[in-house]
Amino acid sequence: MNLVNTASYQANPDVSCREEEPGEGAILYNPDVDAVLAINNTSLLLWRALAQPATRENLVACLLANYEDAPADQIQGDVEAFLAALLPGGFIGEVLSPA
Amino acid sequence: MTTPEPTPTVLPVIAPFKSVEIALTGTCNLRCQYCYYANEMVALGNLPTETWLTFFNELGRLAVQRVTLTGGEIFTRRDFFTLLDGVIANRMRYSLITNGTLVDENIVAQFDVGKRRLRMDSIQVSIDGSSADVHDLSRPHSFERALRGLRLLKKANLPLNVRVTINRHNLHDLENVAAMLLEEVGLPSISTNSAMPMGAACANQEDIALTPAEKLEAMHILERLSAKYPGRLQAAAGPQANQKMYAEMEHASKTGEKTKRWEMGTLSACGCIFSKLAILHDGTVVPCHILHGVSLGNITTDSLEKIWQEHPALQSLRARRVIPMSRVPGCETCKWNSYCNGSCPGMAYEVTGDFNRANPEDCYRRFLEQTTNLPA
Repeated sequence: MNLVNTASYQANPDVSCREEEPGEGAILYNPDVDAVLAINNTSLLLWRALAQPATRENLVACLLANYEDAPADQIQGDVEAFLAALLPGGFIGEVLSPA
Repeated sequence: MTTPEPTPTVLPVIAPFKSVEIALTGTCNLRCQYCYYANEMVALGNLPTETWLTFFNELGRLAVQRVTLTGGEIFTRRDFFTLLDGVIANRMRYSLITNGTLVDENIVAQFDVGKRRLRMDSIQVSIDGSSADVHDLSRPHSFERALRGLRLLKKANLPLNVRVTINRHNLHDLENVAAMLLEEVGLPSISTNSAMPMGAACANQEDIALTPAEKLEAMHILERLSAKYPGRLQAAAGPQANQKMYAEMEHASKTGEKTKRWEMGTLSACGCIFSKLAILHDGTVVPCHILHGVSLGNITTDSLEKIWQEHPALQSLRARRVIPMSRVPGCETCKWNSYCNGSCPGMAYEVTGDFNRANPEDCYRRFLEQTTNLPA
């Protein structure tokens, strides 16, 4: 069983997102830990997708739908980088599946 | 009087404001001798709960990160914790400014509900003396209650900040009040400032305002205390902050090496106008609570985004930072104008009626003319 691929993630509802000028990404702020993170436009797409629980596979599909010409391994890398950047500061969390 | 016009420039879109200072109420149970807000407390009415909650929703929509809640006295509002929960629900952190006298076990326990403790940056209480005999001269009938509130907050391990406002009553009690707060109460640090000539302080100048000689004496005392309690005395304004600023000006004039803490030689003091707004208790939007005479609109009728980006007064305040001190009236021939930044625009406005002037209260030339040299 590949636990990594089946995990679901969701945006922390306590995090605020201030979208910058069009095309310039956004600023995320987690008031619980007073952490700020600037994200680019690609990450902003993923952030919006995480309004609902989503797996890595869902996130890859989201980016593929928006960047049809991008290589799959680059998309995969972007999703991994996004999760690695947002999980530690509690900007997003892993959704626990029912036992 | 004429004010030098800043060079016309096209102002860029300003990054959104991150914090807002909010006077939740004009009601206060004290009548402090130097209250800068005393006139507004009398003149303006309070807003109802729903108006503030709607406003906090607006701040949430704008992704504002933190607010400071002040007054008046915040704990005179019976709906205080309802309002605080409105701040928290809108994804913000907060700081509180209180006189401490209404803080009791029930109020302290309320901070353990939900995310109230987690989201608190600080709670500031003012203590002006080591005894009622001193403290109550500037903050009447409040010492025992303020100290009790302070001890309750300390016991609850909330992030306390104690402010000592230096004035003529407590100048010679500073060593005692520092010992009481840092040793007996066990605070990690305290901050000092001095009473500004605003609000109630205008009527009580004789009692409150330090003379130049007393400012110098305060600097000497604070220097001794800083040596005794390293890193535990902080100041963003008042004698301790002024001494640091003046020392940096002296250093720059002797070595040509300018400080990196601020831009010397232009009216560049105050970064608040690039990151925050303030609201009076009737909803009036102002650049900050010191500039409470510069109305930018009202939260019940005007768009904060539009005010922030477009209001001419804010644009003028932001543009002042390019005005050379050598073009500021009264500073043209000053030997310090290459090293000065004009200090607080709010105080300049209060004293001269023009925020494009230097704040005379912090003027180093005047300080030197009226005193001997700085402490070493």
